[in-house]
Amino acid sequence: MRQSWAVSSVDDEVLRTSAQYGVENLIIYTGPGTKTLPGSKEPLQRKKRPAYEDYLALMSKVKSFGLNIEGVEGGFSLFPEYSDIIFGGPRRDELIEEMLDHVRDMARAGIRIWGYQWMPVSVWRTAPVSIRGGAYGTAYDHSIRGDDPEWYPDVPDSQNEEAMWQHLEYWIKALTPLAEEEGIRCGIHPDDPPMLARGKVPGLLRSFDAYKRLLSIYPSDYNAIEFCQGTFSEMERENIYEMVDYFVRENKILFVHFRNVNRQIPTFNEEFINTGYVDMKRIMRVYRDAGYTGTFMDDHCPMLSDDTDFPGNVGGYRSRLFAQGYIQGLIESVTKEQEYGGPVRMSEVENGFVS
Amino acid sequence: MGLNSSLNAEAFRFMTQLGVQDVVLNTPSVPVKDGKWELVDLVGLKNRVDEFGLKLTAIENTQIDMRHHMIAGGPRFEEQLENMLETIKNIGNAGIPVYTMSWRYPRFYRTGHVDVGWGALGTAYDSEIEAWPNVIDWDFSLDQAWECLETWIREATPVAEKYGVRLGLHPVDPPMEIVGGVPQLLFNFENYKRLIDIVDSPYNSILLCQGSFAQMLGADHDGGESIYDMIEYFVKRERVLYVHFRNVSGTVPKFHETFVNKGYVDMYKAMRIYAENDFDGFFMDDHVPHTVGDTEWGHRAKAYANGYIQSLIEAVTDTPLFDPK
Repeated sequence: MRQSWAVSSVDDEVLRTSAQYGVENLIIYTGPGTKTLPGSKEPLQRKKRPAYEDYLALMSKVKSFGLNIEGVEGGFSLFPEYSDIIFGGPRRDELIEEMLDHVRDMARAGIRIWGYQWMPVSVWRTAPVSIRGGAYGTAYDHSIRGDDPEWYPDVPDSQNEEAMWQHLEYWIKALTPLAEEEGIRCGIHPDDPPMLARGKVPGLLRSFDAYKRLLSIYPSDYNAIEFCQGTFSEMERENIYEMVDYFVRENKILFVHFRNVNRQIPTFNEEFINTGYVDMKRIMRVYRDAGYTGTFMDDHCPMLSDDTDFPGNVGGYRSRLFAQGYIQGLIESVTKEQEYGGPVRMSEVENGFVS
Repeated sequence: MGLNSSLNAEAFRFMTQLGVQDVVLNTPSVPVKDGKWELVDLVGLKNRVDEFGLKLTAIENTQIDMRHHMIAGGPRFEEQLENMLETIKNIGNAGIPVYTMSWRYPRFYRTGHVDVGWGALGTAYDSEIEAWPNVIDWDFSLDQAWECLETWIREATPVAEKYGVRLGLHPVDPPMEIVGGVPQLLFNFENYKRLIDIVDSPYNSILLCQGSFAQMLGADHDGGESIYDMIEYFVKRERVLYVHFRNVSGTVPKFHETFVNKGYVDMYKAMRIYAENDFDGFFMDDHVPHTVGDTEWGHRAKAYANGYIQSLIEAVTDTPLFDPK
């Protein structure tokens, strides 16, 4: 078990910070469909998409700081121009081919993991809420946003849930053989928030069962999961510990978004890593006992007052380093405690179980 | 989390947001009036911390010129002793439960900085290049040093008990036998054992700067005097008030400070020893390396150290620090 974090641009400050604080593995927000050069804010100029050489340059810059690129996260599904892949539109095959060419280039440059989403409406949140000491956490309240027509994307009426599953199956069957051949493991992030539907768009990857169905489309280590533990713990009436155990044992977890929330849908907010409902030490032991060897990354962190911008997702440098210190300490603790036969005291309370 | 002398709203907000509960003020800028701190100023200080919903759990150090003759046997020994006893009364009456002090003169000393990886800087000490000038112009022997310390402990402990202030002494840092021409006492395990036996009371305790203890000669070897042995010995006797949880590369005569999880001390193993012996004090980050883009105070490095400390506490006790939401 190792630590990582995710960055959108690999400037010198973030690379030096990673090296100084022992964040040895990076996940880069880029991938098929993005319109900037990988690991930078630079536009593509005349190029249609980043190519092999661009990924190679990224790899070599990151390596020069003694760091490893664990994988790439992001991609096409939220861009309307690729919606034919999601909704089975007329340009589907042509667009899939473009995506696969891109995946092949990433793989040949040495990228071994690609995590992406199947969310044409992207991630949804309502207004952030004040959590401890006036820090803010992102929040979602379905009664506010779920019924607001303004948020309904332009979706054909024919798109019911089953039709969308057919399109997803088509994509997985096209992608996975290539991923196997090129040695790049691909996995999908859950719908966040994991609702039955958002606006007119059915949410497919919103439950334990939905993921079992996804994985059965094409049983392979290369058809896997970008395991956003935060989102899985938002899923209604699911047991997060059970899901982690199951998917680690199936070797389906490519990397983990190790963040916490106060409760499950339809209304929740994100919390500090150790103030949510999930017992993080308990769940880290579940990963360990099931044999997980991948990385844990902070994903979203609360917004602190006076923080400085981090080139990544929600949360500045201070907030992210707090989570990073916590993650590193927890990995060390649950690893070393095995030599002692467990923690000093075992709590009698099973924290974090939500039935 | 500890705070240097300046009290500012931004730092308090930062601490509150990261879940810090106890505040230690190091050498707060309380005015020195006739050689002592007055009750009214201490109450004001406590109120400032209370306003932010935090708890002023300890004051760490008074201005060094309030107590240097007392520590190093100067001609104003008696006067400083009386004033310090008066100050302890006032700290107790202000409702501040702990006062810790570094029993050393001169103050904290380093010879430079070391790159601890990719330009992060940790403070460093090397006895070969030490150039601390003599700081006293009176004779001061080792016997006199013990006499000063024993007098202090015998006089201060009953006052501390009466006014409800637990006292604790921090080691000399670097833990050398002589610093700045002044013979030192609190540089090894043996002398610390002697210290707590002067008066057997929880009001005669220790600020366990784990960094300074880890810098003591022999602390990195097995054989009964390792850092782990020292922690166990003092925690078992309930004489540790709180802990400076930091790490170092090695011991005197040459060492440098580094990230909390990068030094020679196995911090997880250390944390287990505190828990096994039912330690009920708190852990604070102390010195942190200076890293790229960070503030002078070290917001980023402190955030990292606090995240690390919180996870270790939760893991060894298997208990969340905060009620789940």
